[in-house]
Amino acid sequence: VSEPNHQTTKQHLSPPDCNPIRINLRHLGTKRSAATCITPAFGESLAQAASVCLDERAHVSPTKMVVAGAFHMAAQVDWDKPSDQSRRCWNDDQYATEHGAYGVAALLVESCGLEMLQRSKKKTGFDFWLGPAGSKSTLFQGLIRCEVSGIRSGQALEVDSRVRQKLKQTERSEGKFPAVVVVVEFGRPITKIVEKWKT
Amino acid sequence: MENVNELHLKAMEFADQAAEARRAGDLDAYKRLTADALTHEAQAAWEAAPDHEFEPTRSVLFRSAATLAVECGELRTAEQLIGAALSGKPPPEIAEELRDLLEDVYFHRHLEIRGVTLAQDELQMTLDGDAVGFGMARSDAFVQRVKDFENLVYRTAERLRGRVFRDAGRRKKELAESLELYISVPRAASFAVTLKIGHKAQLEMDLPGTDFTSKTMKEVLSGLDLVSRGDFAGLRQQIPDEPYRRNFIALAQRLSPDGQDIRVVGFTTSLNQELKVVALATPRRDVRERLHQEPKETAAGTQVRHIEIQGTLLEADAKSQTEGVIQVVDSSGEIHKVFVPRGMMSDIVKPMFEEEVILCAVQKGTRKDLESIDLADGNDGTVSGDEGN
Repeated sequence: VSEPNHQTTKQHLSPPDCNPIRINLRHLGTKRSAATCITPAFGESLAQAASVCLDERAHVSPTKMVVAGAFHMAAQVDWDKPSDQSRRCWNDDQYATEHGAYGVAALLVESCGLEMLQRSKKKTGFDFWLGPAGSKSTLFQGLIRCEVSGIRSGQALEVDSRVRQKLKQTERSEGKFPAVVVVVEFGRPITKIVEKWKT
Repeated sequence: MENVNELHLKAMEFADQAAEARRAGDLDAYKRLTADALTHEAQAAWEAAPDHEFEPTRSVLFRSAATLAVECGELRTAEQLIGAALSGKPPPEIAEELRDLLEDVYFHRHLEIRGVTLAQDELQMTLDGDAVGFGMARSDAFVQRVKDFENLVYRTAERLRGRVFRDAGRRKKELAESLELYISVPRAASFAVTLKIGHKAQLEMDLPGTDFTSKTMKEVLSGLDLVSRGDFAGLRQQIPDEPYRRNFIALAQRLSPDGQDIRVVGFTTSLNQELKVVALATPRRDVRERLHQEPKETAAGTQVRHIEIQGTLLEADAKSQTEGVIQVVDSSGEIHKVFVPRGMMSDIVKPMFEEEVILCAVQKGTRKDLESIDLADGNDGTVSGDEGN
């Protein structure tokens, strides 16, 4: 019995061409390409979650964010102050942090030439699958897996530790899937983006 | 494949709406929408099923549908979906995740109450792991957890009665008598027993429980649920009093699985005619890690080190009203003096005297404050740590 070839065409994150990187959360609810799996409604929801996290950590828009890992750059995050209703809606810290991180990660990978094209359900939410921006994939074929995680407030060491933990999860089998790990910390804020290719 | 794609997109839309409904507290809509998502995702997976070369899509769709089936409580459906995925050629990573999901399905099966009716004040405790056979469990793994659960119930009851945390001395007689813990004959689920909170007169007269016992039970389970999800901020809201909260976390940690011997500890109860299940599946070591990651309140610029000490717990001094002190001797003979915050000494630290322990502490300068403590598994005594500020 032959095993199918699960190898993905090698696609790398390209360093963003503008410094600071512009991460405009407002675009999640409006400017969406037809290829992305993040619909305007879902994007709007993610933008709200991220805004609640940033607001709770006493930031104001525009917020400076450090992006580390695959490249080291500054980013500027633009967002709308959440309404009281929005804060109450996203009062589950863990859930809001996770979804806020999805939103920031989606915009960050877009600035690196990739796009979240598909998602699937997993135990703790969704996992996302990346491909070249604008490409039309057949479901999950040839896509790169993206693991996103959020920390509401933590130190750089915790961000590193979460990245290691996520990489370890993708390493526990002998698989050959490439993966991109994005950990968003809303306190400082800092986002670490790391790509892993297996040969 | 267009139809598969459309079905999958529809499933994800329903999953989004379900998540929105859950956040809005509309549980009926959440259940209905999750079921809709399952119907579409399962259909997409079965349509992709005949082509075994269509990977990873085939197995990802099955895994996604099986996850939704577990959320819906459709355990048999989940089992079938996982089986179909594994019978193909899933990539190793997805195969590994499918096996994890299957373990979840079997654990939920153990939590089902088969042939037993739980009354309002009763709950089923289920253990599963290498130390558990069909209807048999290693006595220490079981007895210690019943004892810890009992402590959790009394501490919660004392807190709900508005009492200041009791660092020493016995429980009030009136409370001890009204909240006695009774254990049923074990059942072969993995290893399951019914625990009943009540008092002797209630048992004999078969009266339904008082509101207070139900409230206590509900409070204990919701706290355990928060710890199992690592939601310490939520627990802070539920238990604002620090000694009580610290005590709760430490006892929940002792109830948690230790790894292979006990992999899951589950609680099933019937509250307001609805079954509530709390599964502690995070190993103690990981709970400890999550606790480390919790933000600490320290003065700006203060150097903080997380350290782990393994050694023999020798003596303790609990005379102070605000904190106790313990001494631990590691394998090199070095004595470590560690301060024990309120809430930890009587239920957690004292039962481990003269035992080999592994403890985590926060070191600020020369002062070490205990965060968590557990019995060691027989390795040599060591000290390790990482810096932070």
